[in-house]
Amino acid sequence: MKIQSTTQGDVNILELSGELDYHSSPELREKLGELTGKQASKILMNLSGVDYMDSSGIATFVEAFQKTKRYQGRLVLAELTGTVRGVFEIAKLDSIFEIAPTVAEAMTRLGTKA
Amino acid sequence: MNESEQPIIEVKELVKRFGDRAVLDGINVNIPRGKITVIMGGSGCGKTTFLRHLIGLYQPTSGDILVDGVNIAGLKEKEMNEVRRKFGMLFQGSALFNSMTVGENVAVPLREHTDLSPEIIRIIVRVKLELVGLTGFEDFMPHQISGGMKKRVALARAIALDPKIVFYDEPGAGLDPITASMIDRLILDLSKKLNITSVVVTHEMKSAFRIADQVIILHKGKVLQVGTAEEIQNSKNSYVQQFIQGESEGVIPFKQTSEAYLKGLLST
Repeated sequence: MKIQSTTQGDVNILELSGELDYHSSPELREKLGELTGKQASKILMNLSGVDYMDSSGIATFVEAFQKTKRYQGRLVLAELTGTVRGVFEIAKLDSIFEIAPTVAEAMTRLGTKA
Repeated sequence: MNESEQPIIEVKELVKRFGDRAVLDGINVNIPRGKITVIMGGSGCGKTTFLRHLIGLYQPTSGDILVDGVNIAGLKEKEMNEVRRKFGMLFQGSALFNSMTVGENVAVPLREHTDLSPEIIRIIVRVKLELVGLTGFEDFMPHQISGGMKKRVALARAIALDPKIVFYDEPGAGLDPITASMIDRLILDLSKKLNITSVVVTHEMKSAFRIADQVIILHKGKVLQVGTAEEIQNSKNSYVQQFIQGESEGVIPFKQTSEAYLKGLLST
């Protein structure tokens, strides 16, 4: 899995591609941990390139979600592939997370223009 | 044939002999991907031995077993462990660790086979327990829950590592009919939702016909018939009919002939 980290205004963007599974999710956890550790107020995850995600992937997002909630930060997930959306739905977490259809929509929701 | 149409397991000419007795005698069968296959047959038909071959616990005397195209017959233990990562297994007696909580039991494969942190494992455990309808039971001990709940915990543990294939050994054994039917519903539910291939060994007829996309009937180490639940129920094969009707008299002898008895007795 590849993780590309950029910023746009006050939004921290992580763009993932490849398979998010129990081999690769610790790396994502570390990146998210850096952002939540400095209480990044806006985190956008671009998941358009993620073709497979397992339970460790979803657990990593749940943990990051819990942490951002604690300091009133926001975590928005964008451009979920069908497979990834399915995993959220199975775990009944699709209604808990803020999910945007596109990166542009996510940026608008976060109050920043794409 | 694209990947979704390719059988996830292909068994070719599988033979297993214990001494000069062939317990599996030339099995040829495919397990379709993403479907529920039920293996049925009377006691001693070879279904447990067959299951043990599919999960790599036994090595065949001859023949091939291809899992996702990889022949597991003759595979070394280390390579077999790689293949087993695709497997989840629900054991007949649930096989929970009595000294561990429900949550710790579900966490065992995650702790054993991954480097995930305890915090991430805790979240996965909660998601899996929700999938089997046991949210809130994480801190219970196995002795504090019912037999049906233990089965569900064992199922949560079986799917902890997101397996492609889950094997069930007599999932309804020792459960009352209502609880057994709930377990069936869960098997159906998880198979469809998670797109898991399920292989169920059972002799519970009602359960088999309730959940099966494909039924394999074994008899004397051979495949007697393969078909949908409906095809098996309407089978013209007298062995199959005797088996599904549960009749003691018929073409399957209630006991061996006196000649076979005497031959067996005098040959030892």
